[in-house]
Formats: sequence, C-alpha cells, structure tokens
Amino acid sequence: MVNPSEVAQFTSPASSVTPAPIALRLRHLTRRFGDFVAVNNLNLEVRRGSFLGFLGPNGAGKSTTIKMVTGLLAPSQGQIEILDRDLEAEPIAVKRLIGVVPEDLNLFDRLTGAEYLTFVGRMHELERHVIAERTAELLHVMELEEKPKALIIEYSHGMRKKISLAAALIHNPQVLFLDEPFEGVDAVAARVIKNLLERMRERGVTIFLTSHILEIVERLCTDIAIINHGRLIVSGPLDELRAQAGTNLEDYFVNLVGGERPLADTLSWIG
Amino acid sequence: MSQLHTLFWLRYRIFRNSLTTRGEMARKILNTVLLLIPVLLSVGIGIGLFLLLLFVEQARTPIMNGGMTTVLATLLFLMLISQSTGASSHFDPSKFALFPIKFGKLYVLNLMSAVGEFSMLMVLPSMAGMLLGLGFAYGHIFGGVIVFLLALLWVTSLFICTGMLFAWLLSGRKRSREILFALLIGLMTVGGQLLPRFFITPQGRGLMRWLLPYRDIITTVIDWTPIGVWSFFFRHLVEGETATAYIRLVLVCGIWISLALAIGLRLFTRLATSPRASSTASRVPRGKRAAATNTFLSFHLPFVPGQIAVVIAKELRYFARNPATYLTIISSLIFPLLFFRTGRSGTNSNLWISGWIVYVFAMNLQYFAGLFAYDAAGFRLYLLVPIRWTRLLLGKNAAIWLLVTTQITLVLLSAELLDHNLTFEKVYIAGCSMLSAMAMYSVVGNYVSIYFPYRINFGVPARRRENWSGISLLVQFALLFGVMGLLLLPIGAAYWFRAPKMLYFLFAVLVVASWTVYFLFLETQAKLLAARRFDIAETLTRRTEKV
Repeated sequence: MVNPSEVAQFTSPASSVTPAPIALRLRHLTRRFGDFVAVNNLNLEVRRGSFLGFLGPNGAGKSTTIKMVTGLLAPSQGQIEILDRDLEAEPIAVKRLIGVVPEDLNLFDRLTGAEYLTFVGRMHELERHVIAERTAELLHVMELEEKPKALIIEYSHGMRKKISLAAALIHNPQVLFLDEPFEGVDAVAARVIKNLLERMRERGVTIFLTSHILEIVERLCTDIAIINHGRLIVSGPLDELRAQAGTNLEDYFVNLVGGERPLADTLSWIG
Repeated sequence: MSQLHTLFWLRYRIFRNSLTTRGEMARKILNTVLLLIPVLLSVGIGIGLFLLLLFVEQARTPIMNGGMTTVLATLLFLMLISQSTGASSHFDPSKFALFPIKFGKLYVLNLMSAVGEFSMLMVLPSMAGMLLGLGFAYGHIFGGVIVFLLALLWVTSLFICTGMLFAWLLSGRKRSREILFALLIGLMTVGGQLLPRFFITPQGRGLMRWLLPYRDIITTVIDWTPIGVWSFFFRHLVEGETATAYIRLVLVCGIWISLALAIGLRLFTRLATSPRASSTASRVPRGKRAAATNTFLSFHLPFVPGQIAVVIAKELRYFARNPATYLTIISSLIFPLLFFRTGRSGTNSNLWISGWIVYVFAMNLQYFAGLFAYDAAGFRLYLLVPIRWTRLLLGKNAAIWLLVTTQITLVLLSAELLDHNLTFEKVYIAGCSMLSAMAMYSVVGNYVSIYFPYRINFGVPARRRENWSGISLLVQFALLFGVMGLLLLPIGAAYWFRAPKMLYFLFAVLVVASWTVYFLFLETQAKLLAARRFDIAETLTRRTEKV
C-alpha cells in the first residue's frame, strides 16, 4: 500500500528519463466555475510518443482538463502547448495536429457515417481522393460499413463512439485525446478500439486517454497521471509507479484517491 | 408522499432548478410576459363574446345556428395545428416506465395539466364566452355550465389524444414518417386557408348548390358531432325540449369523449414502450465494402474554398432532412401565390412583389436567426476543426441564401405559369428585394444567433425550441418590419417623385448598401462568434429536463 504523502516523492514526471520531445505541456492550468475550482494549477508534461492514462475519481477534473486542452472550454488561467504550439495563440495550427474523441460526442446526428467523415476530412482541408480512401478504410476498420444509409442518430452507442474515433483519425493527428472512449462500448467494439490504439502507439502517435477501466489503462498506457479535487497528485511512467508502490494499479489508485469506505452498518434494510 | 403529490413536486423542482442564474430568470419572466399578451387578448375576446350574447339579442340566433360551430371548429383546427410543434408539456410516459405507477394516473394528470397549455388558453376563453354566454342569455345558467364542462372535457381529451398521436407518429425517428407528417400538417394548414376561398369561386358555388338538397342530412350529421351538439342543445333548450337537449348532449359528448380518452390512453401506453431509435437503413452484406464514400458532401464549388463548400453542403443536407423545411417551403409558396399574385399592375404590383418577398423571408426567419439551432452537440465539432469563424458564418449564410433563392424562384415561375405577365420590372424588383433582404437578414440574424443561441430538436417528439430567449423574438419582429420599411422606400420615392426610373436606381443602391454592410460586419461577427463559442456550445448542448 502506498500512502499519498509518500507519492509526492515521485510526482516529478519522467525525472529519471532522458529528456524527450514534449507533446503536451500544461502550465498552471486552472478552471473555476464560480467559487468552485474544477482544475487547480495543473502542471503536466507528456512525452512525445507516450500513451498517457489520465485518471481520477468522478468529479476530479479529468473531463474539464481534456476539454480545456482540446479547445472545448476556455481555461480561467494557465497555458497549454501542444507540440510546442500555444493553443491560445495558434488555435488553427494546433487543431490540425490533434484528434479528439470527447466524452459528449460532437456528432451531426442527421448525417450518415460516410457523410460525417467526409465533412470532417474537408474541414481539415484534405484532398478529395484522400478523404474518399480514408473514409472507406475507416468505415471498414470500424465495421461501420454495413449500413451506409443509416443516419448517425440511428447508431447504437458503440457505433457512435467508433464513428467519433474514426473522425478523430481521418486527418492523421499527431496527438490523440480520448475522453472515456470505452464507456458504454461492448466487448467487440472495445477490442477494435484497443487494437487500433495499440497500433497508433506503435506508430508514434501520442495518446492522452481518460478511462475508469483500470485494466485497459494497465494494458495500454505507458504513463499515468492521477488527478483528484482538481490537483495533480501523481504522474510518471506506469511501470515505475507500480514498482515503487508494489501493488496493482487498482489498489494503488484507490489508496491514492481516498481509500475504501466500510460498508458495515449501511443499507441495513436490504435482504 | 403520494405519487400524485410527487409528480407535481417533480414539475416544480425541475422548473425551480432551471432558474440557475439571474439571466435565466429574466429570460423566463420575459417569455412569460410575451406569452401573456396573446393570452390576455384571448381572454378579452372570450369576455367580449359573453357580453355580446348577454346584452345583444340579435347576436344570439346567428351564433347558436352555425356561427358557434364554425368559430369553434376553426379554433380547434388551429389548436391542433399548433400541436404539431410538440410544444406541449405532457408527462412523457417513457420516463416513468420503470416506476410502479399506473399509466392511467399519469394520463389523468396530463388531462388536468392540458388546461394550462398555451394553445388551449387560446381556445378556452372563446368557448367559455359563447357557451356560458348563451346559457346566461337564455336563462339556462345550469345548462350553460354543464355544456361548458362537457366541452372542456372534450377539448382537453382531444388535445391530449392528438398530442399523443403526433408524439407516436414521430417516436420512431423515421425520416420518411417525419416528412410525411410535416407535409400533412402543411397541407392541413394550407387546406384550412384554401377552403374558404374555394367556396367563393364558381366551382365552389356550384358545389354549394349541389349540396343544398342534402342540407338537412348535413345538419343532422353535424348535430352528432361534439361541436354541433352544443348548438343542438341550446336550440332545443330554447324551444322547451329540455329532456331531448340534455339526453343528446350527454350521449354525444359521452361517446366522443370516451373515444378520445380511450385512443389517447392506448397511444400513451404504447409510447411508454415504443423504441426511441430505430434503424431501417438497408444493410450491406458483411465483407462487401459499401460505396458509401462518394457522398453529397464531397461536392466542390468553383472559386469557393472547400471548407465553405462543405459547410454549405452539410447545411443543405440538413435542410433536406428536416421536416420543418418542407413546411416552410409549402407555406412560402402557397400564400404568395394566393394573395400576392403578379397580375396586378403599376405601383400596386411593385408593392405586392416586395410584400411577398418579405413574406418568404419571414417564413425563413428561424433559419437566419437560429444559425446553430439544429447543430446541437455538432456545434462543438467546429471548435475542434481548423476552420476560421468567418468561413463558418459565410457557409451557413450561403446555404440559407440558396434555400430562399430556390423558394423565390419557384414563386416567380409559378406566378408566370398562372398569370403569364412576368415583366423585366417585376423580376428586377423581386431580385433586388431578395438580395437586399438576404444581406439585411443575414447581418441581424448572425447577431441574434450569436447573442441568443437556442436549440431546436428535430426528429424527436419534443421538437420545441430549447434555451430560447424572448429578446430574440423582439429583435426578429424589428427585423421583419425594418426590412419591410426599407424595401418600401424605393417604391415610395419613385411614386412620390413620379420618376419610375428612380425605382431601378434606388433598388440598386439598396442592394449595394446592404451587401456592403454585410461584408463590413462579417469580420466583427466572426470575432464575436469566436469570443462566444463556448457559451454557444454550452447553450446548444445544455440539457433541459422534460418529464
């Protein structure tokens, strides 16, 4: 078991590793909603080519962070750099470099899957033949080609996640942000997404993933960062953190964010 | 806490929790005030009718013998048309499918709450004024009250029944069914307008003459309808046939009310378990790659940047898939052809042409003032892709320009087919009016869309406007009348100075001026859109709870 106070000793990200190019750099990132501070002075660096699992309990500030980093929400304070470009100063250039699968999917419900991918591809100003080829391939890989005339509104939840991921990939992003991509997805669709993400990591794409499914994080990620109450409490290479903690990711995570609550004397009416 | 009490508490809490900010509260108050104006007008009409029947003896007989039936039938027709917007606040049965509550109980609650619906409030005062007025005037106060109560029950059950029918029709999210539904409503609306005009044509008069021998049969049939029986009741009450009057009233109303209630309850129960999404699109066998990539959205326009072209294509796709578009097109085509025919000549003709151009624009106002209304969550994609806001605005505006141009061209062509007198002057005035209105509507519409964004859910049972501001309505009214005034200026000036050529010159100046203003404001509007993008995304995606 690792005590949160001990964790502070290895919060400095990748301190022992040879400096690698940085894909994402957050400096003093803060977001307030009235008096409530959702993200509090967050500093984080993500190495290029790494697969970061961004973890935290519900309401910790994960989605708020990812929304700010991808330009879906304005930060109250702080700076965001993606591949050495400032998001505030060069939003168009940054958007060309990133792909995003947000938690609340940004889909045009009344387009078909192919139409939506074409739309996104053209928004990224890709060549017409490139869009056609990639759309066909993405629909095939995501197994979405069976119903070409179906509108997105008719898609199941898993299909919507897959089309959103396909749209995030069509312009060949160098950094990919995924907010809970496995939530509500069946085992078959999850396998497709996992395989795809592994292949992308092998090809050098930096991936920033939030997920509540720790088995997936353990299997896919090279690094993790854990946030609680809007503050970063630990970050670093996954193997290193696990070795220091001497336990699996689930126990490590639960201990860090507040531990288990005893169930005795509760729900006394059941049974 | 009883279930009944809980349901009312739920309604209250949801309303209370929706007032999260002062702005939200101010918006709700303003919307209520704006709605109160027509409601007060309706109450005034009801009181006027009551007093008229009470004090003017000559008014009683014509109202009792057919006048009341006609007026109430028209009001009920309008009420049903307004229901097609889905703007009612029924308890949605599907939200309660998991709770141990009888649907019958929810259904009764819906009946009770229907009395407070806006479209009901437009009907009930007139109905009360006439029925209670006749009862009081003839000294049958009890009879007046009874017939009013039965009428109230009938109208309420009809309201709920048709509301459920519309919701059920749209519950499958099937596009073909939605478009069919929109066309039906459009034809009903237009039919309601055409019918009275038909009866003053020679063919209409011929039909009336043909029907004359069957008048007694028609009257008998009408007397067995819920609206007709109210006239029947008063006629027989006045003649002293009290028993006949009451028996027929209770019998006819009982049958119709039971029928509406039973159908409504059946639909209500079905709605609770009906699928919210269905996929009827054809499947392609596994392994066989579909040629789905050559989509409409691949189309290119010469000299137009690809991003603008694809925004236009996407918007056109949305128009084509939106039942509201079909309603708009039907309305904007039929009314100008009926009322603003080009057959007139001189200044009159020019006035009519500018008039129907303004009318077509008024029909399309919702698109200009709600640029992002149908995007919903899709709007956030614009935050993620590398598009400049100027291009987005231009693309969205251009799509509406195409839609309006198509409608106006169709009106002009149809008018030529009917009247065969489309002159250069008429086409010139129509073209200039259209171009000027396009630019002015776009300038104001962009500001309204950016400052007062709202969402319209299309293709779902609740297709009402959400997060909508009453201020936006005021601005739209100002726009409507402002543009009308500007288009009348050249015509007025040419008429005043008796210089017909001035008309051509002034219209050309108006076109150039309005487009200059449009392009001058575009960059500012794009910056404003960039600054307000998060607020707009929030408004378009914020969930408004409906139970």
